[in-house]
Amino acid sequence: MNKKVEILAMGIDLANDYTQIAVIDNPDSNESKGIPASRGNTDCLIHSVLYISPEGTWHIGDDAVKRAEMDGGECAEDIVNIMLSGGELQYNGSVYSAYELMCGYLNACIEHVRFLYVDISIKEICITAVDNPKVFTDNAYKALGTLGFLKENIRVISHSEAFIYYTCAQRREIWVNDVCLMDFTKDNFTFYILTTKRNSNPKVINVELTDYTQMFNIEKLSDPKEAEKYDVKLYNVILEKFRKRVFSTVFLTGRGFNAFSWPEQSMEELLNKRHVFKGYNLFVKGAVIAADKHNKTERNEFLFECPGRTKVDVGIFIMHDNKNMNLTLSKAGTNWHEAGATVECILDDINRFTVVITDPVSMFNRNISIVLPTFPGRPNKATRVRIALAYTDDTNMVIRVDDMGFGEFFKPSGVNLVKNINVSQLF
Amino acid sequence: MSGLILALKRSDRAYYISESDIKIYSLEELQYYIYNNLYLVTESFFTPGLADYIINVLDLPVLGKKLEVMIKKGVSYKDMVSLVLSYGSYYTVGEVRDAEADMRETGDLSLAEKLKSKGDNLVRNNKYIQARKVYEALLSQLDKGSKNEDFVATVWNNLGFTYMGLFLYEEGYYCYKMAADCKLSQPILDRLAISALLSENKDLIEDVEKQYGVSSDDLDEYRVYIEKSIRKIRVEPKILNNFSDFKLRTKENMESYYLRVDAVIEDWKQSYREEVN
Repeated sequence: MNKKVEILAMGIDLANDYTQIAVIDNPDSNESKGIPASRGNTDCLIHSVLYISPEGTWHIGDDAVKRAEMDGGECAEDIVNIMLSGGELQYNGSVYSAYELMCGYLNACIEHVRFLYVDISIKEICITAVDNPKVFTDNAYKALGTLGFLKENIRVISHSEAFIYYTCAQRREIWVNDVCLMDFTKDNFTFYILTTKRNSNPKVINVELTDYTQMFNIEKLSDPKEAEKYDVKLYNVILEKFRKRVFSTVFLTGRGFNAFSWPEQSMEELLNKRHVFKGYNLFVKGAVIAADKHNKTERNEFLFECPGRTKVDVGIFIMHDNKNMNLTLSKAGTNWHEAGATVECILDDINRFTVVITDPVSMFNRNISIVLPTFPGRPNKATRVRIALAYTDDTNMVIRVDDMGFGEFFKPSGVNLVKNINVSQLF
Repeated sequence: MSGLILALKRSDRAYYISESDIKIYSLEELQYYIYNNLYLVTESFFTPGLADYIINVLDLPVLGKKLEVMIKKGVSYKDMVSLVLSYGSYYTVGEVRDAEADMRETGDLSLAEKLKSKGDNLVRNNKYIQARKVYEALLSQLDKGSKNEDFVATVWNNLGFTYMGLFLYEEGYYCYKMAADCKLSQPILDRLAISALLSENKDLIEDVEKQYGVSSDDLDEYRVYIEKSIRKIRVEPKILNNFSDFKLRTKENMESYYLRVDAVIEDWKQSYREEVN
């Protein structure tokens, strides 16, 4: 693979056991390629371990294990969990913050690809993980910015979102009905159900999750008797979840399904009039599809309803062209980190304004009145304010109002207001 | 119609208005400047440079190109003012009409006359602090050699009236003195006497007696006039209505009473803040 390439889109799936990287390097094709764990290897699972050499270079995966062996050192593990929680890594007498860890690890991932391709330029990049909490997402944006990526070319999405992107890119028969995904790793067993509502307005793709981590432990699968018990448990879960629903496809991901030969009874049930696929790379392929913004698929008509996506439309009442109107600041179904907006307005004889929050499916709305702070005395229409909306996760938003003064006539006072709104408490 | 007006683009690049040594960065600031300085706006205000700024910096090609055409055709500045003020949602149709009426009234006046007219309008609307600033600015310009004594006397008289409106009787007296120096008349004399008496300053009262020949009997008549005026003001409907807001109404609870009183005080505070700014 020693050739110069332009990587149009790259996806990185960060899981605590394995990291996976996939790229699109062909403008004429939407097909993504998995990046192997090492040269000459077809396996694309990169162990999520880290080794920092005495010279200060960061190594991941098999390379980290080899270097650690040569140097007589040890690899650091559990690093993705540290990044997700915003904790710290204590390694070889040094302390690394979640941001430093993210920066070094992502750089090592990109260097891994560069090592295999020799010379690359990467246009767009998307990181996916089991969840995308604020600290993880903020650190990812900051780290990738430091590594030279423009903000508009970065995305950070949850596994639920990656699942949607992947499914929508498949042929229609795969998702004509509901789609099930079971992800079984050393850290979790998660059951996802993707439902498409084509007849609603707007059209909605919904993903619901159920966590069965307490019921299934990957360590026990090496014992055939335990594996048999798990097969029975899984069979009962399937009967319960699949009752009164029609599934066209089932995806099975993670080591739990791919590295062990089970579950026989459950597989027989799953294969009954359904497509069943096993593999490791669903999330990373979903990520690379999400990164490729030029990819126009049917998914663009749908509103995504899943963890990591906003639940409501947010607007404010304004005057424009001498008409009162609801100006939408944020649409439901947007990735929460990308869902912010900023608008500048001039106050005309008011001391409060109204934020309108609408459920896009039921169309119920809640009006929240925000009382403006007392600005220094100025004539009417001589105060310009900046109203900024940002989300801190998929259900909590912050609205900030800043006084911008009015040009050279009235300087900004520094007065501002911050209002937190929890959407889940409104409906 | 009150509310949030969606603002247009604010640029980092300024447009410099030399008439007032001020920079503007958005269309709303330009509109605000024009609306509040109509007396300063003439054909020379609208230049190709301004049109270019509107097109290329403020990204408003529709407005900018219309202005460009008007400038080339030599259209009256009043039409250009209407065009600019009407764009967007910053000023209402009613406010633009008021500006047009203002321009019709003062359009052919000299700058000094326009300034005086602006001050007089402010006094009519009880904006005494702003009126004082306008008259003082005008007088500092007229100081530089105006030969129209009648006009100067009127401006000093109006400034005196403004000070009286602010209950600054001594300052009012001195303004009336300046008016009398330009041109003494009976109305000016009356105002000198009344302002001296209201100030209760013995030096001013002595000055009005000695300097202007006002006798003690005359001063007594002015005192009676002042008393009658005060009694009359106390029973004016406008004043009674204001005080009625402070009376507790029958069956009214205290919470509602305090809310009503607070609203009146808040109104007065807001008017004061607008005035001093």
